[in-house]
Amino acid sequence: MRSILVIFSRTFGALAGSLSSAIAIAVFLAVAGGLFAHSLLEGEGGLTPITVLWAVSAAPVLPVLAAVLTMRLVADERVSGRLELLLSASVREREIIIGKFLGAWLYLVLALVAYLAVPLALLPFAAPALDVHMSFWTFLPAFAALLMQSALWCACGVLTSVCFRPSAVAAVASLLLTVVLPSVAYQAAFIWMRGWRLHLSGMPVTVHLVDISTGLIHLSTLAFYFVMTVFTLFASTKMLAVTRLKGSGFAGVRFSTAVVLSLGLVFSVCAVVLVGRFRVSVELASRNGFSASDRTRQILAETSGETVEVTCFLSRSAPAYMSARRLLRGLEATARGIAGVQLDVKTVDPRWDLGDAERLVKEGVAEGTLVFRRGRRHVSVPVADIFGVTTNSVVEVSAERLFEGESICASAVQKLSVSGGRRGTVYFTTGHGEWSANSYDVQYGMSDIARELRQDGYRIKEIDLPQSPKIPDDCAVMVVAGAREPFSRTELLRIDGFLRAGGRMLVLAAQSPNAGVGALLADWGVRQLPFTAVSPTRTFNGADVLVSDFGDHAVTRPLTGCTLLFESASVLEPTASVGTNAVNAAPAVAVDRTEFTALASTDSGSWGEADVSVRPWAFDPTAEPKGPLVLAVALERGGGAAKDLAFRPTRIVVIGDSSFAVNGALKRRANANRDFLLNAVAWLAGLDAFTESRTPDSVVSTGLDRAGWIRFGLYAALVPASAVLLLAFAAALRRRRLA
Amino acid sequence: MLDVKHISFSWGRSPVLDGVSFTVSPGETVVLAGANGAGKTTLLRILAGVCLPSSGTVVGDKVDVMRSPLRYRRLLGYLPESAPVEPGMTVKDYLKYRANLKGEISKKIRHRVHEAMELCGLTERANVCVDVLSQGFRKRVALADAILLRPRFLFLDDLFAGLDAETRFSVGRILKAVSTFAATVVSGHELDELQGLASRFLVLKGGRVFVAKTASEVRAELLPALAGANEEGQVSA
Repeated sequence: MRSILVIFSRTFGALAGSLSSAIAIAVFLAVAGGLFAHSLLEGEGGLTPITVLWAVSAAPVLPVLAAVLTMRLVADERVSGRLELLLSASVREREIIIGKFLGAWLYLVLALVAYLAVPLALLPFAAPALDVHMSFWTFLPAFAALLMQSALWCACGVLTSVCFRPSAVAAVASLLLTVVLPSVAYQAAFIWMRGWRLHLSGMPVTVHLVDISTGLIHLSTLAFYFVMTVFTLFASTKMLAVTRLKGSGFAGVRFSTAVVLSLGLVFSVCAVVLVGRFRVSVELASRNGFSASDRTRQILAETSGETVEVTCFLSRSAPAYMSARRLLRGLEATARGIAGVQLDVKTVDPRWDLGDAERLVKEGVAEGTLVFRRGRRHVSVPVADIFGVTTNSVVEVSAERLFEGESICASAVQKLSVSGGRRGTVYFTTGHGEWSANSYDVQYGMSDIARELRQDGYRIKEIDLPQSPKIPDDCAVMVVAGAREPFSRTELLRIDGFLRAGGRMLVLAAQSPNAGVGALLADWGVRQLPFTAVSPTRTFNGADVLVSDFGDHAVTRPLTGCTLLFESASVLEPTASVGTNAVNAAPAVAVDRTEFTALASTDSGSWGEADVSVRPWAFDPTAEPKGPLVLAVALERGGGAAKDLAFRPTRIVVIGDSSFAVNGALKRRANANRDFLLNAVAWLAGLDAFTESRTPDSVVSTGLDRAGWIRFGLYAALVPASAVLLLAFAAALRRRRLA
Repeated sequence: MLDVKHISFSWGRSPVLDGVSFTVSPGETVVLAGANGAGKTTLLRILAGVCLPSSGTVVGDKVDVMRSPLRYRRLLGYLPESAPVEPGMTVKDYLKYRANLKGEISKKIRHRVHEAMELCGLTERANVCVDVLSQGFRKRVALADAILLRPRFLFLDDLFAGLDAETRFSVGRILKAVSTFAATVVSGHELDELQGLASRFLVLKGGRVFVAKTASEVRAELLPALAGANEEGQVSA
């Protein structure tokens, strides 16, 4: 033990006194800090916790730092001859290896502690408006996850340093061992071992980081890092012992060492697999604290009567099982605390609960489904819809997914309480370059919002207007989503007739004012201007615009305090003949006039840019409109008369951004676009139940503007790195004086 | 007593040591001589426990290097050919570190370090960083490390290499002082200087060991193998 301490303190001292090690740490801090600042910028408004962003940002750089710090531990000693001195001392090989490993690891831990200063000290300083509670304890799980990973990378570095004489070769071998080999093996297993895909889905180290950072700790993960670290150190010890066997005549001993190492590797893998079979996991308190959104609470509170029986028809070995169970238990607990409907959650494992599983299969319920049952009615929600099983069968369990899952489950409960379960049919027009409701494409698809609408009880259909003789009678809402080509005159006349008969239409306008139904909209009271809204202050990336100013309308009333994200929005304005109910204007309602309500307007610092292709953008007061600019409007004609004459009023909602609700826009950030669109459809369909903002408390919001981001990025990349370099130079100067 | 029996060692198919046997008594200083590549360094590494022989035994004070390697290594001091020292440390810190590593009890460390530094003439440079020491003083530091815990067996590889005449004289004096408590095996090519220290010579030739009493006998033994023994009497094959 004493020898370990002596070698440990010497190794740590040598690293701490080495200028090259300090430079390596400074580079690590600069790169990891920069990556963290970038991921925080990307994750702004998202649901991925800061702790995860912090840990995942350091993860790719950590193996490189470990390789650089450990490459000389044994290789240099061998070259300089100091290894002979060590081997001639009364010290065991394992003591040498453990001492050197601990010294390097502690130095790496100090680097991680310095990296911890970025979110704990620099971020609150650079972003005073940060509304996320952060302390060391918040970051402890993520820090512990990085510690475990760094231990394994250090052990691998020690092993390669023992095996290779030139330290550079040792570093390259270490990187191959820690980065390249696992990635290649993992990809190869994924390609050629299809049956093992689900078992392997939890293998990537980033999955471990995300799980532990969010408080979900699998015993198998801990076992993996512990066992593999111990095995690697054992292998290092054996390889160091082999250096005593320099001459010939030791072939047998070398062979037996190789056999021992192979058996050790097999044993280690078996131990990890065995521990994994028990499926023991711990959820830290922060993760247990399930917090349902306001919308879910409202739905549960408003739904009364018979208990809803929720069956989780899922194998306990399925990767999504833990997350699904956590979600349902959270909902069950939330319902228990609200005087509304009660939930009764139970699990049916197709491998164990054979009777119940057979009954469900006979009802046509597939494995991997959550079944919400009330009386004789039931609603099935595929787990894949919640946790996004991709083509590789990898289950992606992120905060966003869990949040979507909560929303989908709440909708299922709501559907059971709605008589008939249907709210009408929403028709998406096709044939003019519109986004498709059936497309899963990130940029051009609207499958996510279509699925939400289905969950809310709507039927979704597509209508090809040139081919359809008339607009179907069951059309509750017609959606023109991003039409890039103009509608023909016949089609416009058909839509106009539909609207005059009390029809409802939602338009996501493309950039060109002449595209889609632009000509028809002008007749109905709204015109699309050839300007794109830009805002130097309310933006994430400079091109998009954040909008929080809402008009007083049924669609936007529940969204107070939320933010809409417009990627590239055209400016809208009412035509002269209509009354306005804009943000700051008094309502003007009349039976025969169109009531125009500005639903969303930009801030006063914004303007309408005439040509966005020419940078930098600058406001031209002579030719461009100044903010606030209207980006979404609601039109209603006959609203006043309807109350007296039972007349069905015409309703139109126009959003000046065709990408407002495409899959990518809804997934990218936790914006209120989804709720805005659902509310708009609900208002158009004539329903009174509107969606409250479902933005949870855990949204990452730094409140930084563009300059603030740049400042924080520089702080994160430079301040800890500079501090380390300064300390190192001071120590080097002191040593020079001593010399 | 150090008892070496039938030591064999080979690189590939060419034998370096072939059944080498000899004994070294306490207080005795044995000089290992031989041409370059004769196996002196290999033999000393085996004696120091750094390498293991293909066959044969090394027993020091009844402790077998194969059976009880830790106990055996606790008995010895070793100075490798390159006389390496840990960079970035002062002489005193380095010797303290080595004493700690060799398992000396804490109370005695200061005394041991002081004694070794005094014996090797390093007291005045105790607080000097080893990085800035000359080759001669580095060798002294490495020698101080080897004798630090008053070992029973001392193995010194190419002791006089790279040292000037004055330093060789000083180191010779140190070695004489050390021989009072240690059985010493020294290798080197400086036969005349080593003759003053040696109880006897062991000449390595063709993997085997021959005993010689004087430097002249050694030269006579090695002469056929030496193409260029220089006039100063140094063996430089």
